[in-house]
Amino acid sequence: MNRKNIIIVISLILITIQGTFAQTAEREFLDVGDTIKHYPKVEWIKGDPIEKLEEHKIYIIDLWATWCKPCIASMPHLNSLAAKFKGKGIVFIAQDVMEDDRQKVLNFLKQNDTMMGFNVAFGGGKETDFERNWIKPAGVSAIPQTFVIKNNVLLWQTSPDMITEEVLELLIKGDFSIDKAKKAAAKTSGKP
Amino acid sequence: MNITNQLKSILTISCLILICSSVKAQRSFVIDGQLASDINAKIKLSYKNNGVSIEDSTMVSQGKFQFKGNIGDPTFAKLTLNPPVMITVQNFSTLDFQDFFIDGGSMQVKSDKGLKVANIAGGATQNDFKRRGELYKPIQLKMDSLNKIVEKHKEGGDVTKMEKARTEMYAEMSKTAGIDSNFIKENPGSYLSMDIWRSKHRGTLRLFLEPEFLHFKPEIRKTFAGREIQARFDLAKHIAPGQMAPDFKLPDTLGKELTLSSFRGKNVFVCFYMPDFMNYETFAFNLGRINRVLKDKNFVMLTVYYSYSDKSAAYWKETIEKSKFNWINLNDVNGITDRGAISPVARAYGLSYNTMPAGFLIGTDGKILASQVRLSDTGLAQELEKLIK
Repeated sequence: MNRKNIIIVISLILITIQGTFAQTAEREFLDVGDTIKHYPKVEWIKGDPIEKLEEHKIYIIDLWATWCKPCIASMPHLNSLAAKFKGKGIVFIAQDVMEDDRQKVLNFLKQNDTMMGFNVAFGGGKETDFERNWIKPAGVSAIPQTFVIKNNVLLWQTSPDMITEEVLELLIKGDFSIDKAKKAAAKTSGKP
Repeated sequence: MNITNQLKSILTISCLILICSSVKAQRSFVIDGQLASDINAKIKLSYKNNGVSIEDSTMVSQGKFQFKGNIGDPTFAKLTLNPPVMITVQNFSTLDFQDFFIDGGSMQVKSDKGLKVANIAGGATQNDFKRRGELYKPIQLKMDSLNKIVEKHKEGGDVTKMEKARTEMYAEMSKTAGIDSNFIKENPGSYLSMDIWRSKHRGTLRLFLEPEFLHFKPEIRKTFAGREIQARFDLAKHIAPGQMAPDFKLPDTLGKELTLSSFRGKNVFVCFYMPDFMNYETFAFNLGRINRVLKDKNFVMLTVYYSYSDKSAAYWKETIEKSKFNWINLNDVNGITDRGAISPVARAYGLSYNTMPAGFLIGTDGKILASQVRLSDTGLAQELEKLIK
């Protein structure tokens, strides 16, 4: 093997190592404006598994837990939005977080299946992929919290009550901004 | 000291004396009590005189007792018969006490039993307090009966029913806010109205609240508490967007003193904070988020640390490390006590444990671009970004 070939082989090895590392590297921060192409590893307990986030789709990801009363109180609201916007390219995900009792989550889903007409994922407790790559980088210390993603970009980190029909229309039209969304949500909820 | 300065000093001292004498105008009060004639026990009176806590006690002899004292504003007070050394959850239900308001002048406490059922009369504020108590009564009765249900299910181990009763209790309790809101609206000449309003706005006074305060009659706004509230609104106007940010000089982690004005020409976010309050983690993370979003916008992040008296000096650096505050950290550690702002910086920015953390975005010209920002709002960084030219 001549010297040129050796350099090419070493370069290829380095690229491969770098590529592998990039796939497994943890996200330090998750801020508005950041790109998200992959969904962390979770257990999909309702709906088809989602690994890659598709560019043309809008994702509404709601973080909840069975012990979180405000989270559960907001489920019917998200459920009715999911029903109303079915077939319009919006994927609703109820992402269970901050608890490790899988059976409790499954039981809750069984009892409240009609209230949760969307994808449901179990993230697990501490040191799980979802905690490392989403909860910690996004600074989530309390739930409910809702993440809005479009074109693989995190557009908004908010609460489920701020997701309204008007906000979803803004997203579909491509006219979304946090400002406009806040105003639209305030009109519905009466919040300042 | 030259003559001009001497005159200035005299003027300042005269003004202070004038303010103190008008603000501290005191009225005397006398409380005459007559309980059941077989009561011979200690009785305690607790109240505040223009913000200063006072405790007084005397002996009830054959049901009779008397307290004398001085107050500025009408004040919330508590009479307790046989006061324990310490109030605990266990002894609370057995306490014989009653809350009331002291106005200046003569007051009477009458009962043929103990204090709990006594009629306390005298003074306009106490009359209003009793009137408000009557409005609360149906809610209190409902709460008492729900509380019994909660206790019953707690003992029986029925968590679902206990939670249901507890939820009903919260719903019942929330009705008091509506009662208070109506009371305030309907009684603009009542000191009690302003006292209720004040208790709901202990933190930063946002300027949009001023019309609500101006709804109170001038004689109410001229009380000590009223002047304090007005002063807080006046200060809020001095640190509102468009005003020059008050300059300060404070030491950094190496002990080097830095002034705010030395950052003129840059956009600055100053955050005054103390450690370990509720949701501190969310706040600290959000500061990092602001710094990440604005770091390329000719931007400097400054955090100014205050502390509680029980924290060690080293706790500042521990807090910085734990919170990942990798920017300029300044220290005004003794600038605030439980009674409020002490240091010039804390006074200039209206800081207290109730108003912190407080964040200000300051433009390149030293003028405030944003104040009274919501520091736990995850979208704050984007809002601030829009304000920077």
